[in-house]
Amino acid sequence: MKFSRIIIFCFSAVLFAGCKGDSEEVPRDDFDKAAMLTNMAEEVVQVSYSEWKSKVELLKQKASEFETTPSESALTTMQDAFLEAFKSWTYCSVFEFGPAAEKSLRLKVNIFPIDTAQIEVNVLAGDVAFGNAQNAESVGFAALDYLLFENEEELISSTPRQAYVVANIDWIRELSEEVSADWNSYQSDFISNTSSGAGSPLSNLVNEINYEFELLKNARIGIPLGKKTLGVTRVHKLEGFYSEHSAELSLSNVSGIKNAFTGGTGLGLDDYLNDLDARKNGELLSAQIKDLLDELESDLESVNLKYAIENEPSTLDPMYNRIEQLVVLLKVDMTSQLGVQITYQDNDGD
Amino acid sequence: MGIRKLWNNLLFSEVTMYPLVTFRILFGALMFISIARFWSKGWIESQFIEPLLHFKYFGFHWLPELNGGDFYLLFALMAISSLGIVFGAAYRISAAVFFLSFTFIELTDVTYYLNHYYFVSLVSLILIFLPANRLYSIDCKIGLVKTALRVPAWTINLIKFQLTLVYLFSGIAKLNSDWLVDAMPLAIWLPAQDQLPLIGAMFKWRLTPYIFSWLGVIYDLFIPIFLIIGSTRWLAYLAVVVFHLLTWSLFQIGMFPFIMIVATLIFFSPASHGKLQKMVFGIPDMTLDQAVRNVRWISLPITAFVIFQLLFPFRHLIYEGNPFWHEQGYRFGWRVMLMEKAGYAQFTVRDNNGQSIEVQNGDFLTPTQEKMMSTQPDIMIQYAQFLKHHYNKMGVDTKGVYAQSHVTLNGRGSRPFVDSSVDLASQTDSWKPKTWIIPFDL
Repeated sequence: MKFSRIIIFCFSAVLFAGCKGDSEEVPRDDFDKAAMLTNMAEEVVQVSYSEWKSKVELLKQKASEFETTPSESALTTMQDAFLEAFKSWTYCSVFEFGPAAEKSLRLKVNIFPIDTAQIEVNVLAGDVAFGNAQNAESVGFAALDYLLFENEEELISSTPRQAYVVANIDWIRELSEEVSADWNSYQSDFISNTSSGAGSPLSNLVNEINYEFELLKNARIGIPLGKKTLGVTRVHKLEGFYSEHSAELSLSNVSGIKNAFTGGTGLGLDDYLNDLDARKNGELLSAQIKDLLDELESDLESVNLKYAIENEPSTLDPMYNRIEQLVVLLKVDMTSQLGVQITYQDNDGD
Repeated sequence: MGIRKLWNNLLFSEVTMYPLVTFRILFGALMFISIARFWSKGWIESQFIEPLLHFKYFGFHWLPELNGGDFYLLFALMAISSLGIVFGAAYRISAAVFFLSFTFIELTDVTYYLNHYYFVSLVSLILIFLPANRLYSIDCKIGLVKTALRVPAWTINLIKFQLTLVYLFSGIAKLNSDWLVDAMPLAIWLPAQDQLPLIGAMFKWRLTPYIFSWLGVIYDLFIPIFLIIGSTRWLAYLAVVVFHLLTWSLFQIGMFPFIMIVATLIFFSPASHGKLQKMVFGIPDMTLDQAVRNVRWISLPITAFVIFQLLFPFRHLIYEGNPFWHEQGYRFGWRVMLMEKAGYAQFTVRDNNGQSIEVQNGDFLTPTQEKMMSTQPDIMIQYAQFLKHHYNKMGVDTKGVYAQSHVTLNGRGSRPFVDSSVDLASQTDSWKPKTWIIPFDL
């Protein structure tokens, strides 16, 4: 008697709650996570990596030409090719999961600031062990940035210097080829796992977007701007300090992050958020994130980071403020709304 | 029948002790498995040894800091003592060692607080005082204790009480509008699981989180009653198994479902436990049968324990505002899987010359520590104090440590969490309300 009464109460309660839910909201359409991951893999990650690979290939060509006939014009051609390859990397940097994570690609390809003394030691030594911990800060794009732009005349005249440049490019080229090849075999794993648990492709994607964005905030902008050093600027810590193309590199980095968020023209996290009807203060979360990323891109289009940091750091405040807002939207709102697990740790939801 | 008589019956009527034996064996075994699991996942290293600092529990800052190897030693001790519980070997000492080592590890870092760790602590504390080794145990076999069949009822009822509280309080905590009206946080968590085989498809429906929320709250509130009533017990136990297996497949909640599935077996009658044990272990020698003596004064500590357990989870009521938001009085209240909360805290160390340092949390904290710190005010204080100390040592003339923090609760847009003009390093943690938490407005 009592038991059956409770049962009836339960079902009417559920029915009541259910009706309320339905009348208020539109039903979810059938969002296809697998389709989103397929788009991410094929159109975003693979396309970006192959673009990077071909830019590095081109750089290799130009470097070989320079090595055979060193001249000022050959150097300029190589420098241009280098900047293209470098930007293409900062665009790919966010994909540090799967094959890239296995290789710790970020650490191998682009550690900055670099150890210039160690670079000079390596130039003299000739035979350098790439991938060795001791050389972590003297190889990769940041090292090339120094070698190609710091002392141009010496580069034109010094064969060991040229050899170290070529060796660095070969190192990057090898990695770019490997990661592309590895993705071909990893892709099916990436697409077939549509869970949101720790270590799932979706969780990795979300985590790396957050990690890369915090790298932008701290390493690319905040640290040179003196945010960690009591306002004393550290301009030499800029990415691309020697080539003075820091803003372009950061811009390409932001575009890469945006691409990882939107999935380009196909399905991305923005569509997934929209499907979940994720909002903040009534407005679609995805739109707020995209708008801020667009604004950040135009900030970076019109700034010379090195000049601004050296002469008028406060002009960067509005941009930095946008970056701070974005960190919150990405790390707090997006991650929470997607129900993605960040760590493997057991939890009981508090 | 007066309340006093009822109370005395619950404590001192004589029952056979078979349920205790089942509980002892299965609980101990599950603890052993939990320890092995924790160890094999490398969590001793990543949770206790690798972090640069540990966030302490209020009132337990005095506990000594262990070194790397000591943690392994303590876990080994825990594992051995859990086997001691299983086999009833040096049982009381084993239970005491298990309780102390487990609780010590638990108190090492509040980051890893889980309700079920607290539950394990309480149960192992209770186990120390139970005569669970008086039957089918090594202690009996070697004559350390005499075999007994009959025990006072409190030995079994106390565990039933503790289990009842877990369900009841987590049910009461669900009686809020987020859970009932908005189906939060399940409306976030379930759609994220729509890839699961068989059940995944229904997580695409808007209605599903509501059904799960309401069934969940009804389950929590009424399952203890249905486990107690004999006629509904089997059905209720079936519900226990289904419910916990479901939560296990949906959420990253570790061993908790299995602990509950195993522990709730204690609700079955002594006779049914006895039947099973006679089949497995053989019929005990009845000539040895003794009753474990009733110690009347035990009524006092038990009453105190029960009253404490009934009141302590309600202490959040002394604080104004939403306990899910400010989390004052939140822990030790059986609030399980109740909210989706995430945050980000940008700490700034200011010096006396008007300059500042922005802190990168990743330089000091593990991802789990950062996640927990960002939404829990008492941990923020500890972190701020750590930062002040750290930067002072580096020669910074520190004025204070401040936090710009944003938190989202159950899918609402992130909003400021603490007053960014307050020096958190100069705050002391206490029972007093933390006035620098920005009130949560709907």
